[in-house]
Amino acid sequence: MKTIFDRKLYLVGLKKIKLVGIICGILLIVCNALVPVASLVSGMMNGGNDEATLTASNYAVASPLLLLLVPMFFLSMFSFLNHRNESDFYHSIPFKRTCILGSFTAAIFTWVFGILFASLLLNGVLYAADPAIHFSLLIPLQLFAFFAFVSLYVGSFVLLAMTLTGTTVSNCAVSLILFFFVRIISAITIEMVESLVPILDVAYSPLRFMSTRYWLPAATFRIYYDLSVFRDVSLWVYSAVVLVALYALSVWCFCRRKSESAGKSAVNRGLQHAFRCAFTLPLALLTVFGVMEGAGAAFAVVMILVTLMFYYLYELVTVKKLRQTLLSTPFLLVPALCCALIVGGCYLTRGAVLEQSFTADQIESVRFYNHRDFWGVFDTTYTYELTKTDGISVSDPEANEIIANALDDNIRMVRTNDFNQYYVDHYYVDSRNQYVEIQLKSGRKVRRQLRIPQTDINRVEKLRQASDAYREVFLQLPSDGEINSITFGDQDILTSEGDQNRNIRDLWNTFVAEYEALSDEEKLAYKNQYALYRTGYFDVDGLTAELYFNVSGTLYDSYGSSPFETRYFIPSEFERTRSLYAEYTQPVRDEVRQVIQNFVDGKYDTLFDGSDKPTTSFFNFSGNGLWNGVAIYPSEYYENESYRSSGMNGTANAAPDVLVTNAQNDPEAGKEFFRMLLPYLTDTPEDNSYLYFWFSVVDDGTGRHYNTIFGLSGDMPDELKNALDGNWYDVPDASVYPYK
Amino acid sequence: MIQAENVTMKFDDFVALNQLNCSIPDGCVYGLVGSNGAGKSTFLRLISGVYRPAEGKIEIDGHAVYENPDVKKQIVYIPDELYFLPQASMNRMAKLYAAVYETFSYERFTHLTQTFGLNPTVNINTVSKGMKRQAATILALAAQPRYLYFDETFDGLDPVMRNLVKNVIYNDVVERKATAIISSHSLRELEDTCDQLALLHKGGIIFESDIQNLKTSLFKVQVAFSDTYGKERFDGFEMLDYTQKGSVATFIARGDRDAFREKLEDMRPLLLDILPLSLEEVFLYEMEALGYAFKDVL
Repeated sequence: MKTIFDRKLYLVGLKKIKLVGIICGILLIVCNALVPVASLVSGMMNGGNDEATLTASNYAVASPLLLLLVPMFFLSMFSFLNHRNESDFYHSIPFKRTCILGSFTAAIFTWVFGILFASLLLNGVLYAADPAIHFSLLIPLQLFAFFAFVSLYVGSFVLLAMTLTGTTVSNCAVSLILFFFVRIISAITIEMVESLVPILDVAYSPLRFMSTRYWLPAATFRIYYDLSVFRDVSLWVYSAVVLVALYALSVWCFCRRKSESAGKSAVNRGLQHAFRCAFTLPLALLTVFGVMEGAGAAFAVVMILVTLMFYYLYELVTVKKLRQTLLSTPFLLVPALCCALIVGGCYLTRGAVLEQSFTADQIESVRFYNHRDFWGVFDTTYTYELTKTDGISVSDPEANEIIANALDDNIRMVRTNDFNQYYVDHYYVDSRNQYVEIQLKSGRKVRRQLRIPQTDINRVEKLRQASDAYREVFLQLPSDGEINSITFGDQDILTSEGDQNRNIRDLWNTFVAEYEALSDEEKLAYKNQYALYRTGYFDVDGLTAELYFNVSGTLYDSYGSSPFETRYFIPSEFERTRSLYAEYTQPVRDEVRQVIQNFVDGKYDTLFDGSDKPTTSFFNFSGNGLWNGVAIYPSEYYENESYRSSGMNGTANAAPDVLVTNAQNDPEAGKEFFRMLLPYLTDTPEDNSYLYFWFSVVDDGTGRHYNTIFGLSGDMPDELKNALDGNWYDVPDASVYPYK
Repeated sequence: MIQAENVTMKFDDFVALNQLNCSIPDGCVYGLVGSNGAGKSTFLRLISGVYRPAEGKIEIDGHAVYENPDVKKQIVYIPDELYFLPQASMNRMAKLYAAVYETFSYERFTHLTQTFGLNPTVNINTVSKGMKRQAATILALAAQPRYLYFDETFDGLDPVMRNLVKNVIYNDVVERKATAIISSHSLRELEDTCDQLALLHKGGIIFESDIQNLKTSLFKVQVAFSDTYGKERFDGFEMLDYTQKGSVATFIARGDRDAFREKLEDMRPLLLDILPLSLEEVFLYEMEALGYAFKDVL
């Protein structure tokens, strides 16, 4: 054990970075505690917070700060690698170098993990102080595991940089180079390749691991929103391999490192040249890329000057000797040569890709697959059906012929540089970018991004959908194991009766049971018509937008996780589901109807009590204040986006508060004041029934009076129309969301 | 016993030590003398395991030093440029040494601190260079290693402290049978401290000897005869340097002093005086005998 760890040396390490640990600890813990403290204070000032269940985004939001703090620990602990006398001391003490490295690294991560744990624990305690907040211990534990791993990951880069250099400046510079160099170079290279060969899908090229999705630091932005990042096996395997490799390399370098390297910019001149050239190469490559893309001579000149400046600046700052800086001039050839090699490689790739065209006879099968956003931090989301059928190919001569021809057309376009022009001219008209995997009879697989006429795409899709394999998968609904969350289109109204989540789950289970009872043809019809991606609002066969499940979850394949999200509408054929919905929402609808009736009966004469304030009793029912329940929108806020947002996310009391404020400030007589939506007036939820109230303030010289005008839209019950006795206006163009 | 065999150490193109051989017995104070860049510090770093020799081997009691904690725990190396933890007091440093060296004695640390009159609670980085040297020496001696390496340790010490440091080192060697290796570019610093002395020049030990032998084996002879004579009169004597002014001849001789006196008295000289040499003079003549110009070496 003394070979890699010694308890006494570990304690020495803990003390050595005590100051950094305390400062960083206070910084992180305080930053992380701000959110729960603010929540707690806000709750105390407002008479208590609303009931809420915490998600990952509530916890330790400042934890990514840890990524900046971890290098501080390493710089402090291994500072002896930068100072000769200190270096001699630690190299002379009776411990193996692996033991020094292991014990000190363990000390660093004791501090880091301790601080992280303390901040998460404090968050938990602070949240627990608020009785309205429910939290699960699992989430902070998951976050702890995640950030602990990320800390190890970041630390590996810094440690390697420190073993290769001998001054603080070069420590930092090389850490940044190691951390970003490969990604920057590959990013520019990929851009070059995509520019030269737009039909190549780099997301599946050997450079795939340079995708942002495989970069752990980027995942820190995902973790708060998507805990499924834990199930992204490829991300973890890739990161673990990088981490282990870097630590292994660090150990090797540390053990071979000479004590006299302390104080030098790099442990040897070769590495100094390499770091300087690596520091410069991205700029040089950008210059070349810019010129390739048609940037002018001015751009080239400026970029060359900037590149030279960075080149010499790096040497001057790290070595601090002008003569040596000037002597490094001949090595400028290295970045130039690297640029030439990379550009040459890109052109070779272009040549190779454009040579690959196939006849229909050579093709075994084709499939359209979902595009992966190479640079996106978050995964691209498709519907469950698209995600599930992603792997289904079609083996048909007609489809093979279409794709073979499309590939030929695309290659020709690339060769003649017509590709982008075609995109501009025809993209929205008759074709679209389609990602196609071509399985050749030889066993090879080729992935291409092709511009294909929409009619051809439809033909291939039709052939694909005709296959049993496709249909079997397409007709499935997401299983419980695949679902992360189910929300209901108008779930707020379900809140009023019992547990919302339980009600939604009951509705979903009923829906699934009804769906499974359908024949395959009926299922197919349903899926084609009612299973949709969340793009805007829907008006399907007059169905109100509120009646749908929003189902999201994650599927996994060799590439990693694939999030999905689908809206499943509940058409009238699903009688049991609708009936259950009506049952759950009946109390709210009863309340709403009562409100209407009260209006009709003139019971709201005291809607305003003379003080420009609405009576609170009017608003005190379950559905009130919800943006698509019963809402009151002061006209001043009518087009105000921020209000709309707050209304959408607001609590039941938000709207009256706003209204009161606004009523007090209402300036002009005769101006439209506010209106309200009152849906769910009937027992049949599909009815598009809305009652609008316009209240206007009239000042007739004797005082301020409030006029009320009623407006109706949709199929209002005759009894209501009669009760209003003609005092209403038809609102023929009112949509489900009339404020839009 | 420390054994160095054909040790070569290079820094890029610069050869700091070249095929160095030496053997340092246990229980002695071994002096390393040489000009700047002679390789003294490099040699000390090699025998303390800071460096790995490019060629050759360095062993203590037959075991390699580099990356060998069992051997290194018997060694404390006090470099020319001292290291103390930032803002550390001697007490804080004592804890560090105690964590690193199993043999560290707080009792001895306290005793030595009192002997030197240092305040162990004061931030070491705020005290004078000489006091830092004393602090480093105290810490090293309190660790009670078998081997103590001091690189230019007497630099910055006033004469009183220099003697005190020499005494405590000497006592340590005598009482605990420890071995101390002290490097210095000044021969006078080592003259009254070391048992053995090695002269390093351009990466090699060009001369190594027991100091007592050195001092007694060479001596200066002044002799005069009534008749006319020349150098040939002393044929058969081992002489390193010979000068004659008139009837008085002066030369440096090597050998047994009493036997020399007896032989010369048999020659009935008018004047005979045999004088001891300072260590520096001994080195001067030994170097010249080896073909080195002493002023170039030290």
